[in-house]
Amino acid sequence: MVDDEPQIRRSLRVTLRANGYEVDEAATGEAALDLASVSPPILVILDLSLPDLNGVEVTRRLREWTQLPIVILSVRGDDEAKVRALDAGADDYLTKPFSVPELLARMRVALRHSASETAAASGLIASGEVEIDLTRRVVRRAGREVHLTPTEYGLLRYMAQNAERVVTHGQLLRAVLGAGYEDAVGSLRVFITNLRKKLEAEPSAPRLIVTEPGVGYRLKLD
Amino acid sequence: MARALPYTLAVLGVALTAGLVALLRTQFDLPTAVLLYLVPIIFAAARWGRGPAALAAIVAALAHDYFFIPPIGTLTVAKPDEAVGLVLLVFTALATAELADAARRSAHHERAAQLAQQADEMKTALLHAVTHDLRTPLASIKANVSGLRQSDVAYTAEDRAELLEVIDDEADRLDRLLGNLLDASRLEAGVLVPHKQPQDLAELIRAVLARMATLLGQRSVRFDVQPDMPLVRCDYGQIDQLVTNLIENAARHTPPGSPVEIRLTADDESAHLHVVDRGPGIANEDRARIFRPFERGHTAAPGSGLGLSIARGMAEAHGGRLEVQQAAGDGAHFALTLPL
Repeated sequence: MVDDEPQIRRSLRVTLRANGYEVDEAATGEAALDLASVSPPILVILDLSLPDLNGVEVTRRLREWTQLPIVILSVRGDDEAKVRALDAGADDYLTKPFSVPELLARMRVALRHSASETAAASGLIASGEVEIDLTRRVVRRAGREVHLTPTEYGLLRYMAQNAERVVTHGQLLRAVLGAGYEDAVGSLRVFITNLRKKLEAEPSAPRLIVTEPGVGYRLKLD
Repeated sequence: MARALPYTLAVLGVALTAGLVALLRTQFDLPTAVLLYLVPIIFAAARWGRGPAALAAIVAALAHDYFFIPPIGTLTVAKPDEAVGLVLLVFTALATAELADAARRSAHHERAAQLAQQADEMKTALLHAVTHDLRTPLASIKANVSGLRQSDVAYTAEDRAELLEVIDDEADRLDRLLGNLLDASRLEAGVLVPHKQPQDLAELIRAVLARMATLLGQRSVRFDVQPDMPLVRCDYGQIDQLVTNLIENAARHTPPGSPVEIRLTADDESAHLHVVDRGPGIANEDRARIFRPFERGHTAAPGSGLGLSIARGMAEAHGGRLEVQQAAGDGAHFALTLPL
């Protein structure tokens, strides 16, 4: 748990412990990196604005040697830094102020990360009336096959493989169109709109592919 | 009057030039001397704009014709090339004046744009500081309240007490920040008038220290008061806020466990309060900046950049001073002087 605000650390130390987690704390980025290397945690909660290294840099350095889940804490207005942290490999983010149940839910998703990769390996992902069969490259809605263009399918597959986790515009564009297209957010919106028309019951109030404003998208499971 | 001044000065400039032409007439031919008039005309254009420059150009042409071009003492021109010279003078003068005036205006616009940009940056900094400072205590409050409301988790009595204490402290912190924002706007508007009453400053400081105990944490605070310390006429609420800001500043910018020293003394005229910490101190180039609203020293410690500017504003509203002094060794040393 990395935050330079002692009161936040105190709050989360008490609430997370009561919820069955053990908590180690660091107030600076350097201390966090030291602590993570000495006694690697199962998950890192990382504030973006730290007095020495910022959260983006800490994420980058952690990702040099570990895939342990990282949940970012930020204050609204730090959108750009948030996206950079996610692109650097953070798993999810929460905007302050947040509630403890919200944080716990994000932590569980991030911890399930490897489990969801197992789901992706099994190849079948279901949410509501939508079924995505990754091994056969087939998408069904209410039992009927839906025709998707290769780009649409690529985007859906990437989001399904990262189900319940936020994926940034940049990550999606890189995964589907390749490096160099990270700025084509306008085109991405069009693809997502088309996907929603084909898959959502109410495309204007999406429940499968939800927007994370200023950051990217999240594919929701049931 | 003020509007006529540039025109008067422009004409005066032309008159001086005419005098100079009279003196130098033997050394120059007249058409060359004509060029000298361009000096006051262009100066007038760059300084005051098109109007005074145009007047200067016309006066220059007429004066030159009257005094120097034969037949002297009349406004007629005998030789055609002299006439062409005069027309060229007026034309060149007006064209140059126009250019100089345009340059002057664009410089003016640039300055205005620069000022507007500075104001924008200030607003952005303010918004950012306020957002961060308001949301941080809110984050703790929200986390703790939502934690306490979890129905499926059994918090021990100790946990509950700690979560409630954080909520309490952070609500106080929000209150301090809102107080600071309000005081900043009152200082700005010049309506922060101290209601002075004789006060025991030592008692006031002890009360502030007790209230700030959580924020100070493990920092050891040493508080020395001169014996027979007199009462000080001041506004209790404002000096409370001032001292709170100084101590909060010391707590925010020093590592946990580092000592804070507070000394209260008086001489015949003034009370002196020194707040000295052993933190990283204040860089020389930051000594003036830290007292300006929304500006902070070159540290990464969070803060609105309001506390010290308000503290100084309140000291000055009391007829006193708040200064940063060279600390012995590392650390920051703030010295407050209040008249008794």
